[in-house]
Order: sequence, then C-alpha cells, then structure tokens
Amino acid sequence: MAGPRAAVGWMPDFRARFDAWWPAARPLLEAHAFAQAFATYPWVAFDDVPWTAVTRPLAAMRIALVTTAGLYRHGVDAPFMAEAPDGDAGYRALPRPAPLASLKVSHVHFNREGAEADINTVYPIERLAEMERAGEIGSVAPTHYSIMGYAPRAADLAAQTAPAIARAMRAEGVDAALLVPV
Amino acid sequence: MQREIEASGIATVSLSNNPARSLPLGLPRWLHVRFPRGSMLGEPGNKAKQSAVLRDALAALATIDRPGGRVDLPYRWEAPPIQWRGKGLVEGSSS
Repeated sequence: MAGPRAAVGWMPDFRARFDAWWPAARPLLEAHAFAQAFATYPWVAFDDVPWTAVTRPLAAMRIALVTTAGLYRHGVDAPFMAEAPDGDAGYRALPRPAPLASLKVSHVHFNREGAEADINTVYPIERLAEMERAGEIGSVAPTHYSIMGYAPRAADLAAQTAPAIARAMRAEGVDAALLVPV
Repeated sequence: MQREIEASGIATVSLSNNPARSLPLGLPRWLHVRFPRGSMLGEPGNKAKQSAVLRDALAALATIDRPGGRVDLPYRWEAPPIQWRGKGLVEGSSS
C-alpha cells in the first residue's frame, strides 16, 4: 500500500526546471564549482505544511532517526554514489543492532572528521538509546535510515525514497522521526 | 523527506543550521541550532550537549503545536572552526 502522500504537484515543474538547469550545471559540478552551480539551482518552496498531530506522550513513543550523512554498513551495503555530479537519491536502512564501528560516511560534501570521530554528531543513536533506558522515550525503533544529503534530484528523493522510508517506519510502528541533516 | 514522512502519518521534527534554507520548505516542526555544517548535535564527544539537543528536539514534538513551528536552541559551538573548502566554519556557518 502506498499510503498517504504529501502534495506532489510541485514535481513536474521541478523536474522541468531541473532539466533546464542541468546542462549548464553539470560541467560546473564536475569541476567542483558547487557554489556557482547551485546559485541557479531550482530550489523548491512550499506554501503548505503537512501535519500529523502527536497524540501520545514521548515516554510512550517509538522514535526513528533519519540522517543525511550518507551512512552505510561497511561490507554489507553499497556506499552512496557520493562523487556523482547529480548525487544519489537512494537510502540505506540501518538496523539498530548494526555495530557503530561498521558504519561509514559516504557523503563527501562536508567535513567528515567530526562524524568519523563521533557518529552521534550526525546519527545520535547512542544518545537515543540512553533516553530509552531512562524511560524518557517509549522505544528506539528497530530500524533507522540514512540518505546522502547531496541529492540534487529532489523529486526522486520525494517521489521514491521518502515514501519507501515512511512505509518501512509505519510497518515497525514508529510514532515519530527525527531528521538530522549534516 | 520530512514532509513526506509527516504526510504519511508519522510526526516529524528536524534540526537546521540554515533557517533561510529551511523556511521555504514547509517543514512541520524544526529547531534552529547554531552549530556549523556537519555537526547538528554539537561537538564530537560532548555527550551532555548531544543529549540536550536530542531531548529538546523530541520535546518539540509536543511543544510545537502549529504546523511550521520552530524552536531556537541556545547552545553554542565550543570547538575550533570546522575547516571546509578553504574556509573555517564558525558558529552559524551552514556552508
């Protein structure tokens, strides 16, 4: 079941503006002239705001994390295509038991030293587990999610990746999600 | 991403260090942090600050009671600038 969706009316217009932007942007991106390329990027703006009311106390809620650091399980998942000029709009599931030392950062568009020194700066799973142990949240979700923040094809992210993540969260009874960009 | 998850029936909250970029996105609930790009939870190894940010973010699920509501967190960046593409990213630097 696809489930409910945010308004998608912006996508055709975005795709058309993206396609108009891409021919000139691609060589700039390949030359790592990111500021110049993104100066004309077709940023999306929305007038509406989706809303799901919170009906349970935090101490009864199951919480999932979404990080945009491009984390993946070394030796299990393929890394994101971090060097591609049009990025990577896919996602990786991060089962809670995944050893933190096995998680690698594939996002190359930020300084990764902090995340590599302490993964909680981009994926606060240990701090969330502490809140669970203290009874401050109901539970840590069995699965969390990673996307790679460098994903200029925003309509692909919204049309495919986000609904897949939302479906997986609903299947695991997630009440709320915290999104952590880099 | 956040809009789609929220629309599917799961409440969401996010962190941002770039209000100018976040405002047009129609995000259901978000918190502004002052930390430079790449470290939304604060300095590596600073468990107390990471927990404070996480607690405040999850508390905002209940305290933000209107769509698009925002909380500004007071925490400061207490480490040297993050070096990125030839620049030192100080508190509030998002790119």
